[in-house]
Amino acid sequence: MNLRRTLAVMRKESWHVLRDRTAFSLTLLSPAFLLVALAYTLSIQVREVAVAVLDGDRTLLSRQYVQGLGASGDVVVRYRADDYVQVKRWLLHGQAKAAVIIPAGFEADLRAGRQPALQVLVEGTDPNAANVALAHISGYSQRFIARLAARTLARAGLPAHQSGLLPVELRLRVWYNPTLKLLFGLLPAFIAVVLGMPAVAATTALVREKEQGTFEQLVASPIGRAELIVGKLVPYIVSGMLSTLLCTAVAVFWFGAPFRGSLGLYLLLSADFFLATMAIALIISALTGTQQAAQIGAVMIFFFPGLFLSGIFYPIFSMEPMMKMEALMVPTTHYVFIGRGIFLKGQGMALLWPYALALLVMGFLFLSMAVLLFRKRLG
Amino acid sequence: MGYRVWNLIVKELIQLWRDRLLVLFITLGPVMELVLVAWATSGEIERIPTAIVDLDRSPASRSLVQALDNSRTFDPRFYPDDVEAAQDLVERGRTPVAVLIPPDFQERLDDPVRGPAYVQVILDGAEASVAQTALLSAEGVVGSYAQTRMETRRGQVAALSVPLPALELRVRTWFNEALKLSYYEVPSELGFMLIGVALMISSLGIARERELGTLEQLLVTPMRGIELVIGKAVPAIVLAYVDFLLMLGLVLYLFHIPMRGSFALLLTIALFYLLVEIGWGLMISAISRTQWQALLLVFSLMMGEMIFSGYASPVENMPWLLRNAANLVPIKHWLIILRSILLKGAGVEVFWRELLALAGLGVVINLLTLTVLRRRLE
Repeated sequence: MNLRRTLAVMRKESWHVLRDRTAFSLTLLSPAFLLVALAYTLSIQVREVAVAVLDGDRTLLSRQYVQGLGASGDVVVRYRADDYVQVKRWLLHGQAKAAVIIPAGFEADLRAGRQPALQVLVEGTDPNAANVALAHISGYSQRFIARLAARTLARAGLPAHQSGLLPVELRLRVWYNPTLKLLFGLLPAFIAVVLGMPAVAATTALVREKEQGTFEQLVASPIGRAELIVGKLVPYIVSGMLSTLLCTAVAVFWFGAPFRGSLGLYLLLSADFFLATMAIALIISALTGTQQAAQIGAVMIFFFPGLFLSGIFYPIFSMEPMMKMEALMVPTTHYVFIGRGIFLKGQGMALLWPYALALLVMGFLFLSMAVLLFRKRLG
Repeated sequence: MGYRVWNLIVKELIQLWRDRLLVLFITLGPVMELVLVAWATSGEIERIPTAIVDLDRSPASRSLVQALDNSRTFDPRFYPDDVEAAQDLVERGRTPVAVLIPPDFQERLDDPVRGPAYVQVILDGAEASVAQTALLSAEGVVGSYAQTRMETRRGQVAALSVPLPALELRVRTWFNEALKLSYYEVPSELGFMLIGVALMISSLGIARERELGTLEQLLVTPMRGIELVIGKAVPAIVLAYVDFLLMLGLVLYLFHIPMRGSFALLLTIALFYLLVEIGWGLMISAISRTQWQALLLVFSLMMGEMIFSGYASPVENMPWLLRNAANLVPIKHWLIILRSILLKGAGVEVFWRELLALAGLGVVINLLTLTVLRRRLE
């Protein structure tokens, strides 16, 4: 491998990247743009679920119940129905995710110690929202009754704690992310997903040379295979590193995410990640002949598994063994662990080395596969 | 005109046949992806490895641990002796949840005068979606544990002959009785795969001709703008529709999502929906100079559509302006229709508004595409 020739290819490729200003800025900025879009799209913090209420009692107590229902912000009483038909229509159209129907005689029954039945209808097509609504309505009803019982007992001259009617308290402590902001956990993971972009750009560039026939010219020159590959990929790795910095800045300064670890280590391990993804990009471009096929292939390989298999939404430990294996073969999975470890937990190499090693092994494995494939293709 | 369009379609098909790998990617790619993604996301988050720090070691604390174990969500796997050991487990990523039962748990339960009994739950906030599930489930387990303790107390208090209020909650769930996550996730994922494929096939067509310089050759033929659009759109629609059928088959037979409405209605609306999306794709194709640009534009459009699709953040909660802007996104209406037909067995009388919006968008987008194309080509 000759350093001078490698540098020549690198210079040529950098010119390519830089000459087309729009493409360059798009390549550099697209990960940050995608990060912002993903963060706004997929940070599923289910709150303010729309709920309909049919108050068949219309007493002081039933009004108190309805008033307190939306107080915590988990659900919002958006519709007040006059009859059952209206409730049904809102649920059918999905405008309300749940409905609470207070029976006539609610207050009178409660005061007399009879057990009135509160009907809760749940529209189940969106289970996330439905679960939040259901959990909130049942928890709220329990607390409502417990308070009422405490007042009743107090009137009878018996403090509530003596009767043992106080429920067990749940005290919460959340590490690394005290307000349990879903977004803070997701951001480092989303960065891992959007940084698949430089690899897609590299795939496109490599296949463009094939499609336009300039690849043959390069092959005919004295440039060796390894020199060509390294020279072509280095500019994209550099652009990827710049995008990493940009994405980190967006996460920290725009979204206010914490960054507790070392930035230097993060960049180093990002380079490790780019090595693995660029190697995959090489394999794709060796196998495909047109940009269209290469792009669709790259998107299929980098984005969907990266987003859904890497443990971002669905944890690795809940997966079936087969899926678990597949998930561990996706570079993004390891990079997600690294990102979360450095951003939120401030971890160092002592805890992150298994992921770094996995990426390194993947990188060299795929790279040697790519070199072999290129040899076969070029004869 | 029909003859010229037909010729262009044949040319496109020959080109596709030469690039068989592309056809393979287009038809089988999304199907395989859907299987992967749906399998990965449709399961509930359960058996979360849990660390239990039981400092009380009383019958009460043991029955609480038992209740956690029975809940499916938690898998009490580690029993560290103190909080420091639990912290170490969380730090290493071995467990995202630790439950701490304080030493006076039983005493406080038996004698509430000492203050209310409590349980401490420690969550790894970095795994935010797991943490939220764990929190919701822990609230449920501890709540019902407290409830059973209360019921026994209630018997003793009832002897005082004070009428104690009680409430019964009758819950009925519609359309998705078991609240299965897959009923929501899988149809949405089908929608996202479909839009990705439709946009990518249609957007690269004209951009590719331009990049390779063959667009000029097409332009010197007597072919008119509209003929070019139709000729490029037809193969794209056919491919995307085949994809849709394959994915629908998977959704129904592999993932057992119920099909409660009319099959014919769904198939017809799907075709119209694809016409709308492919109009967008052709527009991108007409305005971008290279295929790389086209791909980036496709990504931006897809992201925009996903934001306003109502998949993750409910559109009803967005500010007024965004809520109305969301109506301009075809996939929002399409997902509502898809879910209504599959899960609710609804007909046109329920979603005629969405259908009308889809039709209006289709007309506007395709007219716009045609104007843009004509200006760019002539």
